[in-house]
Amino acid sequence: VGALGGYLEAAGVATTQISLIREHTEAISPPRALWVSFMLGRPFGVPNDARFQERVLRAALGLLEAPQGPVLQDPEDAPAAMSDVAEGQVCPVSFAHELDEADLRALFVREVEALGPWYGLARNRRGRSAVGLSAGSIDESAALVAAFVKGEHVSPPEGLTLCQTLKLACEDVRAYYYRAAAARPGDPDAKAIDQWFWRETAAGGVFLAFQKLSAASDEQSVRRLAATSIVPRSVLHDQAKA
Amino acid sequence: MGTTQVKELERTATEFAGLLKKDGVDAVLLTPV
Repeated sequence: VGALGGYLEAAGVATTQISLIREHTEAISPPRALWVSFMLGRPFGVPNDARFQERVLRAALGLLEAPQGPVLQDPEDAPAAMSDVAEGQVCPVSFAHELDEADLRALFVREVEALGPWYGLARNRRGRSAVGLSAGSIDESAALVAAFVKGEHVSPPEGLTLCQTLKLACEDVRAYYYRAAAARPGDPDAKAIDQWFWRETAAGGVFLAFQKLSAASDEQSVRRLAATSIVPRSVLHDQAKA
Repeated sequence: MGTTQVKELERTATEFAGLLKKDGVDAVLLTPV
């Protein structure tokens, strides 16, 4: 996105943009960018909160008034970090904590199965699936993530790199959990679902283990994936404090 | 997927900018998905 902004600007079209990964934006230095600390896939922040999203939109468009770039602005009113206290249980399926890694992986696989009915409900309500980037089933994506965390060799399908394969599997798993959680009674908000995923599910633990492992990968692209796409910065920050 | 080579974007972006200007668009908001 940053590079695209530069090329469009050079061709005479003014640009402003949302930045989700500050390091990328600083490196590319596009003409104007609003850096936000939202999770990947949510450039306007909290889902279903039109007022909040409008503030983000207005802040991004406001950068067009800058006489010249590059401008990288931090929003003053970014949502609170994950350290806020969770309110209540988000999902009617709850899972244990403090497991060793083998138990965690096994629990992760069972967790995916247990969430199936809730994900099915969400899919039926929306009339479309949120899972399928990886072209495999959710079970296959979960198995792939679990295998990588176990240290097993992962063979990417033809046409994809290891980094792409891992990224798509992780995105499918996360989408599956978030949709399943959102289908529960009580209409949980996005923050509650975030807290549930990262603090209460085996998947959150597996993702944290995944992040640690991929950060030590021999492949540069996988290390970059670990740095930017697996665990939100706010969660890593909370982990470091814990 | 975050792996597009930056230089590969230039030609498409320039063509796209031409179409935007033809349609009277003078500014765009870019967001990652």
